[in-house]
Amino acid sequence: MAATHHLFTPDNYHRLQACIHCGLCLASCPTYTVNGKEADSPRGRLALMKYIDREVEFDAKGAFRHIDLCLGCLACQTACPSGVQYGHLLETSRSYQRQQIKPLSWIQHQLLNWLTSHRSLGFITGLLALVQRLALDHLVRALRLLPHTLRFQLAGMPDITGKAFSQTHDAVFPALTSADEAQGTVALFTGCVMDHWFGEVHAATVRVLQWNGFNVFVPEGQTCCGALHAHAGLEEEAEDCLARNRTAFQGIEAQALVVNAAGCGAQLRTTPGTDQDTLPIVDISEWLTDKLPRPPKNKLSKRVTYDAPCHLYHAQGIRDEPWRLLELACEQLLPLPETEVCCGSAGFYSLMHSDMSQHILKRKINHVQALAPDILATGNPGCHLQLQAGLRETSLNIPVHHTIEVLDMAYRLDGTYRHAFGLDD
Amino acid sequence: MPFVPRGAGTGLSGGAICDGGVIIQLSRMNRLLAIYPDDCYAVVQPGVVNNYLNLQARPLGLGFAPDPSSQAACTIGGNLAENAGGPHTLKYGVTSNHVLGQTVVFPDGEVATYGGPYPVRSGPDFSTFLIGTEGTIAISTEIIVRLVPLPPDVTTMLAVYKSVADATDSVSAILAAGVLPNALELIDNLCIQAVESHLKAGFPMEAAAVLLIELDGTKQMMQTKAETVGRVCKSNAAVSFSIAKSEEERQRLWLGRKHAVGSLGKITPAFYTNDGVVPRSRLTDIMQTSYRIAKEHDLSVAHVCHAGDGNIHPLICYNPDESGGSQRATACSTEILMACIEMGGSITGEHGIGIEKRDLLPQMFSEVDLEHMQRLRNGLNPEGLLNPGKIFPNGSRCGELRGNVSIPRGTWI
Repeated sequence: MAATHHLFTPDNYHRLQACIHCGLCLASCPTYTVNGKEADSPRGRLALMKYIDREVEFDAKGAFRHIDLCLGCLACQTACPSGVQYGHLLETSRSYQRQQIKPLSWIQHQLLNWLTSHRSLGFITGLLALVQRLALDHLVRALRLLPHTLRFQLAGMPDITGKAFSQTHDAVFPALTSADEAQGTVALFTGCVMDHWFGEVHAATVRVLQWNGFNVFVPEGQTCCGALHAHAGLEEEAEDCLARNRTAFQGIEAQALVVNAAGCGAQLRTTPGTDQDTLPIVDISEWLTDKLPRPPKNKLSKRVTYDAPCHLYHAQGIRDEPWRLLELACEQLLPLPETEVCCGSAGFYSLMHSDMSQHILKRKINHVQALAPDILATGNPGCHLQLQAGLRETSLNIPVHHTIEVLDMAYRLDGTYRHAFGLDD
Repeated sequence: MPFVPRGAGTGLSGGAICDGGVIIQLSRMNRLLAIYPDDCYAVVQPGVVNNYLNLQARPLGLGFAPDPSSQAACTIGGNLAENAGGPHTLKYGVTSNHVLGQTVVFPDGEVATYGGPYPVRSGPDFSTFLIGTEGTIAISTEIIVRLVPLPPDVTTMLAVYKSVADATDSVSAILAAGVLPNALELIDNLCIQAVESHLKAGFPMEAAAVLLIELDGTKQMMQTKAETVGRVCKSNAAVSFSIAKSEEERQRLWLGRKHAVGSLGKITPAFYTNDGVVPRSRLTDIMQTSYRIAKEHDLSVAHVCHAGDGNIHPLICYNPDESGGSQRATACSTEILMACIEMGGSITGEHGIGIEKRDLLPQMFSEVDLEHMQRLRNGLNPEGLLNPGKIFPNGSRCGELRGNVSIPRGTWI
């Protein structure tokens, strides 16, 4: 057998060998669940990586089609008894693929850059706001003017104001409690898509933090977390994002960097070189769980369910915390079957592999439909768009909200909270 | 061209390995066709995952008893092929006790149905004959499985020991005391280290071995039995004995047991899973022998055992990158299996023969035994196209021990 080591370093090869082929990952893998192909299971993909690494004449291009079809949801990491670091091996393989086998196509690369840079995203957001104002998105969907993949993406869009949160708000938000209830200062990670399309989630995050005694500020110079680049195998670009963020967060005085997008949190906290000691990176749900001296006085009289983002549940191991917050916010919380299973969004996956993505989403939507909740909560922009689009396409009038938005809604039942933030109807 | 049936590929003796030919992947024949709760049976396709069947049957108060540790992934068809067991075989038996009938396709394409949805029958039982033939005679396409009522309640106990011999002595003593647990599992120190390193199942790290004992029945029935078990364990020098206080604690203990084998990846680059059986009264001997043989080969060995069945799983830790590493592990495993045969046991309890142990078969059976078995197989699989090279030693290999079990390229794809 030729020991070529051209895909993995010895360290990574050692990580690969931790897989003992037991197959316990199979049932957790959404793509294997759909098509039942070994090559589209985590165990199969690891075997393919091994052959790419070890066998000179192996059809690497063919093998990468199966590795491409992986969502990167990391459910297999949760299922794995041997602790195989699948996510790390996947990104290493994809990086190799981009350099040696098949670079990202021009349009894919551009799309990725457009959606992760503030300038182009600002332009796209302005355009989308106009489209929504003129109700062109409804027209496009009604007349089926664009390919389904694009119409589907339009269907998931939240109401867009046209301006990013960081452009329209101050960078500093003082705590709204008396001095003896003050809990300190946290920094907010605003991200790219979150900043432009989900400003309302940032606003809700800040309000809840302020209300519970935290000063919040938005560090300058921060940029996209680089997760989408890393998942696509663009290692250098991901590293560039990380370096810029490291500079932005250098020496800031805060107890933690609060993130409200699961994908960004996973990328920021699991990437080597992020200094967790000086500035812990935390998800908002994790941070608030034991830090709510002023829980909501009233609960929403609504039926709410929660779909766990993979990058919260599997990548960061944050499982119960969002549920704890939702318990404080609503009267009826309904457990969603298979909440830990991917919704099929997975960043650009829903665009690149729309068939598989739709299959996976359908199962999720069926579960939601059976519960018929008033609100579906989640905690990541990709999942948010995907789930909302899936529900609208199925003509289900169920809004998707971030967990923190649901908590904020419960707070807003209280007049003093509304008044404090100038939210009176 | 040879063809090989394959389920989820979780087998441990290489029964689904295809060295040239076509794999018939049955994992996509995964429809649960019907459940008949009143008659306690279900009709499934071979690719239905064991756990899935159980999840569907549970709300009806029923379950499929064989529960191999791979049940989250393994298929009913694969369970049939290997006559799979699991921790609960002690009370409920193995797969052959839970299959009522099946529709099979023979290598020449003929389709036959044996057995049916009735629990008792007389006459030749061809359905049961086919179970455990590892897909070398026919391929099941539809299976009628028995579902058993779920017990009203379960009690899970953990007994902790300072010596392995005390633990194995307790096993026979518990059964001799008239208690038939539904599971009686032994996990030794090295395995505990692996599990606890990431799961925190609740096994004390310093224990030489623990016994995981489970009873089922009504609360009243179990209470006296649990007291007996506790008394027996303590009189056999258990340093502690406890009963899981909550469902959560119970689940955690079982998670530790079910993940024990996989967890070994945490402490060794590779390991070889052995599957020997001895009469229960020889459990203490075989455990000591297993440790001794491993030591002679300068290898470490961890154990999980379906102790109540006398079924041991020595997990032989080795480094495949070390020269001669895998040969040493194989030789060690073979010696342990030979010791099992000497003690009146068997070379496999539930993993099957496959390609792994086919060359050991002549150690267990006489030439006449083997010849008659092969005559049966050859009569029904005359051209030998269905899953060739499995179970029986090839003529030239007869008696010759295979040095290195390697997995050919393309096995998984």
